[in-house]
Amino acid sequence: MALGFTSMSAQLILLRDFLRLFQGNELVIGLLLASWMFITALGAWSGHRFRIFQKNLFFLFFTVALLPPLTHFFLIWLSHVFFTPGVMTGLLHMFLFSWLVLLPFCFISGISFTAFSSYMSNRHEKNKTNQVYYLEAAGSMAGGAVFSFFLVFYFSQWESLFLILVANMLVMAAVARVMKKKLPLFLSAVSFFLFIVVALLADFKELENRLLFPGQEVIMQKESPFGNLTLTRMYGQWQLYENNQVIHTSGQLAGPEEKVHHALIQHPQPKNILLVFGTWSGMLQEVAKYDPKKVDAVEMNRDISRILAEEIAELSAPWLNMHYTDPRIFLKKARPHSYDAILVNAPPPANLQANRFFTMEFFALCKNALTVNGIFLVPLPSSGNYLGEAARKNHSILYHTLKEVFPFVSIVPGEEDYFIASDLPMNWDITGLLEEKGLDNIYLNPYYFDDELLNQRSRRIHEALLETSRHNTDMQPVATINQWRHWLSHFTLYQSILPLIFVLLIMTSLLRMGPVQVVLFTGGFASASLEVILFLAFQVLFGYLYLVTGMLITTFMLGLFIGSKTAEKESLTGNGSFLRNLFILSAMALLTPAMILLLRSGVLPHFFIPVFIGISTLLVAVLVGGLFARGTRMLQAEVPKASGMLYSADLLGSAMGALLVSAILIPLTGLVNTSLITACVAATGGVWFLVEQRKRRIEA
Amino acid sequence: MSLQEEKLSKRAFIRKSLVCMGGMFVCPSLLPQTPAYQQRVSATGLWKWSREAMHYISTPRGIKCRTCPNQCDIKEGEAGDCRTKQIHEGKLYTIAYGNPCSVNIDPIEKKPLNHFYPGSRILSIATAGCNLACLNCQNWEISQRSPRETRNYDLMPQKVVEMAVKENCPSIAYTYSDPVAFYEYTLDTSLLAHEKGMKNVIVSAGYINELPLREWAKVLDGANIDLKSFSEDTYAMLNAGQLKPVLDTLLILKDEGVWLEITNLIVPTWTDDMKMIREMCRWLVKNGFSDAPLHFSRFTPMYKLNRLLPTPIGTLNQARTIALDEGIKYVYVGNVPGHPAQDTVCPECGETLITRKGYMVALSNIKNGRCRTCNTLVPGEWES
Repeated sequence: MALGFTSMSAQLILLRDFLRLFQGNELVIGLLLASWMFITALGAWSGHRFRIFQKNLFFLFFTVALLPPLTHFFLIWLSHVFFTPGVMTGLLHMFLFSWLVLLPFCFISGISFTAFSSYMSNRHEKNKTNQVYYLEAAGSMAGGAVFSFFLVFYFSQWESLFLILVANMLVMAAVARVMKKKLPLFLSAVSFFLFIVVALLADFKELENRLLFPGQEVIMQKESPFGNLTLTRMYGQWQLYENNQVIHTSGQLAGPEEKVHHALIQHPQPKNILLVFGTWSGMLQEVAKYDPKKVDAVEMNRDISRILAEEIAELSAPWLNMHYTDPRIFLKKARPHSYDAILVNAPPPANLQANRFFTMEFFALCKNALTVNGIFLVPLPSSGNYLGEAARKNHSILYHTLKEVFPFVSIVPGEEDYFIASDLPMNWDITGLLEEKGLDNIYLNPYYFDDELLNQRSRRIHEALLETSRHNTDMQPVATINQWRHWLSHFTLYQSILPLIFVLLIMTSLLRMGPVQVVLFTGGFASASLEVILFLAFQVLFGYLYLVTGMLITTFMLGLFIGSKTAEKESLTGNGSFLRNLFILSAMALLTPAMILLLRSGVLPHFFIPVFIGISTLLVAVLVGGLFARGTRMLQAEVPKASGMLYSADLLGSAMGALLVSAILIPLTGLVNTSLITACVAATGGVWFLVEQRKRRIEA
Repeated sequence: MSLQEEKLSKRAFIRKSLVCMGGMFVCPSLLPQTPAYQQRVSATGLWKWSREAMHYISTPRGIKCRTCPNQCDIKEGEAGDCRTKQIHEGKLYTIAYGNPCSVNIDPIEKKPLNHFYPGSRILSIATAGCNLACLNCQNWEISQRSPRETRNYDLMPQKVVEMAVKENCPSIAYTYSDPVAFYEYTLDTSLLAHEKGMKNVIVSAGYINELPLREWAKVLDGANIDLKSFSEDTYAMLNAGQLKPVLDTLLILKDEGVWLEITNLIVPTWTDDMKMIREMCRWLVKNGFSDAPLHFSRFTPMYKLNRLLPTPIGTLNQARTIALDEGIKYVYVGNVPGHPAQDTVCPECGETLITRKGYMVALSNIKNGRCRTCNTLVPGEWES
């Protein structure tokens, strides 16, 4: 259990570290998770060869407990040794680095599963692999819940890691005492006190900050559910970092002025305004110039307001209503025709989460909330002096998607390219409108802007757009894959093929698997795939809620525990009962799109969405847990080898699901097709098993 | 025998491999795609927009381009570092001639040029390609591409000049990427522009060899040279270049009488060392550039350098103070709307000579190139 607890909490913490240091789209997350599971699978698979660990379980557990803080330290330190400060990291370098850093912890944690299975089986003279599996799942459930609902809110990464470490030392001491092992008891007791002293005396956070924010004074730092938030100051300028990426900084004039005024000057009297993610970027100061009656500002991360409360005076304005929720949830509840303008300041749709604010469904929600002739604005990164090929596709997708909802769409170039949509065509007499409204802007004024030149640049962008393009929708997030293409075009081509090589590597591992492993592999794949689909469907249908995300992870682990524990006691009557769960998973994958479409239609009550997603998550996990339990009984082999084989097959399938589904299949083929492919993969695994079994019977 | 111990037959291997490959059918579409227009021309052959390059020699190792300090040894089928030079039948050709991918009309202050016909419009052109590889390039979609990869206009030198006339632009800027990469196109266009009485301006990193530069300088009227830092190491790591040739370029342009302004982009943690900035200013003063306007420009996260903070305005102010202390007379702060250090101030009497609002000249106290108050000569090219 402690192994599962450590492994899950370390995974959550170290994944956040990686997201702080590298780009955080699904391609990167998928690759990291796949690397994590692949290395763990390697450890489990080769675990039977390391007999020394099987005889020294305390030493093994001590190593597993010690490695997460060490990995965290090396991750930060080595990233500064290998990478140039401030420079975007390519996929290949990030991949190699993740292997270098994760190898010790993941490999040894994989070995631990095999070693503990072997120990338990030898002790009880019975195959206890499944018991280790469900106990590990229970530990993971606890680890996920403790980190997601408690540690993340109150402790820094370092503090969380030290708490987990000392908790592990206590567990080790307790077990050693019960088993009357003097050396481990002494080792864990000494370590317990030693680590507490080290944690109290050494200022690791300060060291980390000096590496991550050179030359800057760190004013405030907070772990929020959305990532690490750090406020720094340098030469009087403050900057707020979210996961080491500057998200807001003081002294920015051009962007906020353009975003607000390009849209609001188009409306005769913008009195009711909705700001989506624009609170901290200086947009509030600009909106205030219109003397608004009511401004609703929607943000997802409440912790930012706690950090920036003193920096933004308009936060206390009487016309401002702050809402901390998912903008899609907010818009679904908004009264129709209640806003004169909606200004969206979302980051580009470089991940599936951000893409939800660039889809046709989201635009329709906004259109519904706008008054007649209301103005809608959404930005994409600037095309600068030339619209590159990937950016051209991104612009085209967004333009044509907006055109499906709004009759008129114009692109105004500037610090970013602003897509302005409305029922009326845009008035290009920008300087005239600015003068008419008597706005005193520092940047957006006739001295910086020439209507003719601006219009000329805008026309060039419009001319470069593709005549037709696929529409970006919730179910077909085509904008995301194009953003990735744009991102990948920063690097040489060989970096782009890395995910494909890795997928091929995992696929070739299938060649070494027997039929039972193939079933577990496809089961792992189907469960990971369905999890991603259900999670994404939840975000699309209901909205993103951090606590629900934590609950879904916990529910999944609970399902694994229930599934594998209950299946242990069932009698195994043949292939049918072994494969039953796999075919049910396949059927679930087939039915999921229909269910999602039904929920989207609005026929069922809204509360049914979390209920459906929660029950489905539990069911998927119960099925895959049961599949593992039955697999342990189907496979007649020596325990350490067999347990390693099964566990690694399960992990490799999940790795494949994590990478292929979230990073490739969904952005490329959409949710519905991904579900169908998942159903096919699961069914193929079952059929393959049956064919192989039949062949063997004939041969026998 | 356990299920796992069975060996894999050849047939099973082939069958399973096919299944693996089938599962990959969707993957190639993740790769950056080749634009259709790129496929219309061969990767190495010449096209309408090719001209024999200038400044190259034949060596036993092949053709050596001598336009810039990279001095690329180019082999058949390869391109130079700038992506615009290639070999055909034993000769070096440029493929960036008459095919700009970006054509815009800009205010001249946007280049930035503050002492060169202030308030005028300038026709700006660029082809794809660059002889440097700056991690923070704001035009990387042009500079880190070959002209074969971009959507280009068909705009031979004669047409560029006609366009400038039609658009009422008194000067032409060769800018955005780096005009050294489209040297021949720039040179021919500049010659024609001069014949029509127009001015030519380059906005460049100044990474060029002496001979081509001296030839170029004959048709140039103004230049903004980006002095990216004052450290050879930083030049190597940030820009894939060297400092020394850029300093030589400044001296040659001064020697050739081309109006020169210098830009120094201050990138936090890379080029914001005040000791280095002081050293740079001392070198400029010592070598006779105290009259050349110096623009300290604000960095914003760009291209591969996207995980840094924008330059604090305090850093720019401190750099400006150092430059003024060291004796540089005209020091501006760029990329900061509304910053007071955009006005031109007389170094003798302290009177504001040009009040700028945005890219516009709101008020000018310069007459015949002299301060109206104290009659001090203000270096630059002014409307008579």
